[in-house]
Amino acid sequence: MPGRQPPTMSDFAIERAEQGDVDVLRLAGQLDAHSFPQLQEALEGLGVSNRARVVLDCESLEYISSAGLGVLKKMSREFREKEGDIRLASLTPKIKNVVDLLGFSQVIRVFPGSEEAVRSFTE
Amino acid sequence: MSQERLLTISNQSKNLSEVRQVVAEMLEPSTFDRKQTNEIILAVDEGLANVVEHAYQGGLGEIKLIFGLDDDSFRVHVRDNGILFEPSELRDAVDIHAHIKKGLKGGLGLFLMKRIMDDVYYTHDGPDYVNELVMVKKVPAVGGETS
Repeated sequence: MPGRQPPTMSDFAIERAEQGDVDVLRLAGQLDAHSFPQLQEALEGLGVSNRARVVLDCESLEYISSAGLGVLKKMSREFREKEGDIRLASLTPKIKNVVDLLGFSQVIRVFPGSEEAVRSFTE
Repeated sequence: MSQERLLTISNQSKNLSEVRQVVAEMLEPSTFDRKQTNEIILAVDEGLANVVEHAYQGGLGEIKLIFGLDDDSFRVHVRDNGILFEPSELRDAVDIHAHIKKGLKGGLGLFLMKRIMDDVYYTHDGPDYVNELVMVKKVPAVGGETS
């Protein structure tokens, strides 16, 4: 999996960084019904590599719809079966509002920043 | 204040961002605050994404959008000539949180539309479309708020 995917027509990009056995994916742009396959593909690639501990840093994420959150729900279930998880970090108020509207904060752990989210895997 | 905008797009998901931009531009001078505007954009995006994904069952088709904004409401009409979508399928997903906890798929977009907008319904009685999704949001009074 490349470290960075170029922005597409929908202006969505993923940048990956490894921190020990945790992968931090920095999401940028618009995660919608057009771009969600990019995230799904990236997460499935990590799953195949048995790297099931993932933090999604959303500081530069400008938009998310239910299509994007649906991927998180689906993949977090798969990763938990591998004793991993997907955790969210650095949500802007706009993104947090969508997460809250759908009640996802009850099923996906949310942290103020990436460092806290990465540390949470060892606590 | 009253304005209307018409837009015709193909049923391709790449067009969603353009429609979100149109809604943002229309609501910019309105009395909806930023949070309300972002939620309305989300609701429209969810409704349109459903039409894009399901109306033409994998084939190409046209979708007509009509946006209307006046002192009372913001209205969105999404018209397609795809397969008939029965209004009964617009169910209330009242227990969406249990739905999510169980890992069930689908229904999230409809839930958001109904949660955010004041009225969401389908019509099928137009001369030039099979389905029309209508979403309505009341405009907040100046200095006041709607639900």
